[in-house]
Amino acid sequence: MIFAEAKPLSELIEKIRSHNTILIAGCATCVSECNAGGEREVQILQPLLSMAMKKAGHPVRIYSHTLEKQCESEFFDELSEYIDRIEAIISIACGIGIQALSDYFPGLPVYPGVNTTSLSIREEPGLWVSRCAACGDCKVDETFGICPIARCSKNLLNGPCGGTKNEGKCEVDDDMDCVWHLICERARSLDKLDSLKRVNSIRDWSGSFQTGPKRILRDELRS
Amino acid sequence: MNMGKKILKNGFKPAILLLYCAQSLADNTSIDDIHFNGHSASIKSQVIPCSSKIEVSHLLKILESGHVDGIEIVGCGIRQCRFLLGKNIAEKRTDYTRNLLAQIHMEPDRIGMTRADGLSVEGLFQIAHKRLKKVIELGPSPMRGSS
Repeated sequence: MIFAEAKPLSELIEKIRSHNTILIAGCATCVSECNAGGEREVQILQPLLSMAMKKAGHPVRIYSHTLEKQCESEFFDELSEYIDRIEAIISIACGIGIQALSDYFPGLPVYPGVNTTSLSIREEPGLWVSRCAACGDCKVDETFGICPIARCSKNLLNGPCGGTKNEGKCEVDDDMDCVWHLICERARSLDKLDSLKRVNSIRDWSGSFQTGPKRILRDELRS
Repeated sequence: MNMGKKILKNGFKPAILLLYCAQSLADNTSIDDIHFNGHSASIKSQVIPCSSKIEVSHLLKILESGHVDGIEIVGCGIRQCRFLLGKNIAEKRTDYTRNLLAQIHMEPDRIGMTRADGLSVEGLFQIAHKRLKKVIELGPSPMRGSS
């Protein structure tokens, strides 16, 4: 899922200080799954900001609404009832949702209420870990379903560095598995250790999010 | 209540809400007796099936309402929980809420949690009284009169 983390409250308080009425907009998809921007978080942020502003001597009327998806404009009509009554929106969706809302309501300031940080999976309750780096050239089968780009601190593609600890942990973080240790163990369990001796070809990074904005056109889906 | 004179002197009549797990009471305890609305303080109570049923947003909304100056949650004893982990969840949510309050410069001690089991009405009242004392030290909630 797209993973996000709540911004410091002090940052949000500073943003809404100049407004009298705002809307907090949540999203019921990824950010809800990672407990950063769903209905539950909306219901926490609303009274919290309301109290903070009352305490600061500048009460702000705060509406709230959680959309099924904040990255699809077809859901935005649900917000039309608030638009004439609000001066700004705090969106606690991911960076995509925040921009989609800004595009749809260009006359309103839309403040991000979260920081979008990674593509992660919930490994345990309360613990999320990166699983994808959106590199644009997935070859995760070559490493037995374990991605060294997203999960190696050094993004190494051809084996572990010298920093793997005895227990199979990464030198960067004692709580983090060395991904190459995991890859080797899985290869060993499948009796395919030899396949890791292959030197991988140079990757095509042109599809990576790090190489600039993407525009994906699929003609078969267009009218 | 042995603190009435001090409270009445500055006109502050503290009000707290007591949210208590049904498992924390002794058998055959009458829960109606806990309601107290005296000249000097007010204690409202609400029984809950498990302390884990309390969400962070519930606590914040109650405080935001301005009806009470503090909240005390009473969870059942360490091995009593019929949901096994309910009280642990409630403790973590209470701590999280206290941390959020601190971030907006509200006193975290307006919310607290106690674990107990086999409580009589008297015992429950004593727990409430401890939170009441804290709230008296803190003074009225800044949300008073905001509802």
